[in-house]
Amino acid sequence: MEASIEAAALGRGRMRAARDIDDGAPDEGGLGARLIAADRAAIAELYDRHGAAVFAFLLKTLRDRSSAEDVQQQVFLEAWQRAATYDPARGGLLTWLMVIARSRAIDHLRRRVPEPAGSPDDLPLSGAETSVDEVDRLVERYRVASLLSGLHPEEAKILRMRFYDDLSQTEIAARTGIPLGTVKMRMARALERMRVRIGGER
Amino acid sequence: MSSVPREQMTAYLLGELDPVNAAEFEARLAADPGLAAEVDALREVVAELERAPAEAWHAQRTLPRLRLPGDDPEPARARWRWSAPRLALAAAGAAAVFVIGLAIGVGVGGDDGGSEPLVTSVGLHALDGDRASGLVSLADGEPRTAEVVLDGLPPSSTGEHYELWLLGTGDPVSLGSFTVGPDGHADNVITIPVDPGAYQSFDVSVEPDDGDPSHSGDSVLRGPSTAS
Repeated sequence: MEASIEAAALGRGRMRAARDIDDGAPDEGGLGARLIAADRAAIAELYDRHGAAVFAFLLKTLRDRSSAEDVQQQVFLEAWQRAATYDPARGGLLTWLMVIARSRAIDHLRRRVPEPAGSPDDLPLSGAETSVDEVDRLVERYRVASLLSGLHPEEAKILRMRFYDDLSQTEIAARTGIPLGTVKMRMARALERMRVRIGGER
Repeated sequence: MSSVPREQMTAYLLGELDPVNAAEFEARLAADPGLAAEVDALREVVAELERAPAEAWHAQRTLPRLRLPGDDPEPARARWRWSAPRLALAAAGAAAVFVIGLAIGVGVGGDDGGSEPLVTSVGLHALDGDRASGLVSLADGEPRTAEVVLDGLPPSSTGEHYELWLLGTGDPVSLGSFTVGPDGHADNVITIPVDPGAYQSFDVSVEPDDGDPSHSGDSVLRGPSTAS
């Protein structure tokens, strides 16, 4: 069943390949090729690039850091072991990882939720029928984590303070001691970088 | 398309232009389709950032180390080290005390045969619903000391460290920095160079190793500065 889910999700990915929503880094294709060729450094690079997005999804879904850490290892171990099956024409790397992560998260929740109280309908992730749409939504919802990983740390910090801590640019300047003009410049640059990366995939 | 500073577009999208400037900017938008298209593209980015779940903002910081078959075994628990405060207040004599292998619950008044100092404790709570927590046990006397015990913190990432602060209405006061190993635990006895009662909160933040002594704004634990 999970294999068919994955095939459906990746098939959908092929149809919308032009707007695939991984991080848009110019060497995404190159990284995929190195993975397929079993380049060990490539899995580490994949982890650097998309590990945060997958982990954010697992933290949110499993609501337990220890479980999320365990499943995170499973996901990337599986990605490493199955790298030869990755087909870039069928979807981006983050989409591929999210398909694996979703499956492993469901496996984990099914083991954790005792029967009969825990029917599949009780799971935070719904069943196979909606999995393709779910994968799309998951990638769109969590790709911010991947995109932030690719920003300069100072730019990522400014974005986090604005959009997570809900501080104005003036408040960020006061909190950090960074001149307001510099805060504004970094904010504009960070948003532009995000726009280019997201827009380049559409 | 007319030339508009990026910072002005950003301020508009963030709702930080005053009404007069916002109205003026919207008039320019109405007259300039190219500018409007550019602002719309940035608006989508802003909307996506506003929708991002909390976990997406913190995942990178708390990302566990990837382990694959054939990797070196997990290193033994890294001892955390306490570094002296980086602010000017460090010069006031806030020498941090190293305690190796200090057990939780050890008193902070020393064992010099004198009367035991009054100890009050305040709890620190995670700001993002995480499982981390902490306890600061303050001891009266000169110098003023405190035992700090923290648990459940994500292990320190490369290029980052934790820092303990006192926050109030003025500049934050750094009480020292430290790193956390895989067990998420940290404990130490420190000297506090100021009166905590003059501040509002103890605060633990994640700081990049960039030499910038200011607070990053990325706080993970916080609690009152006094037990009252």
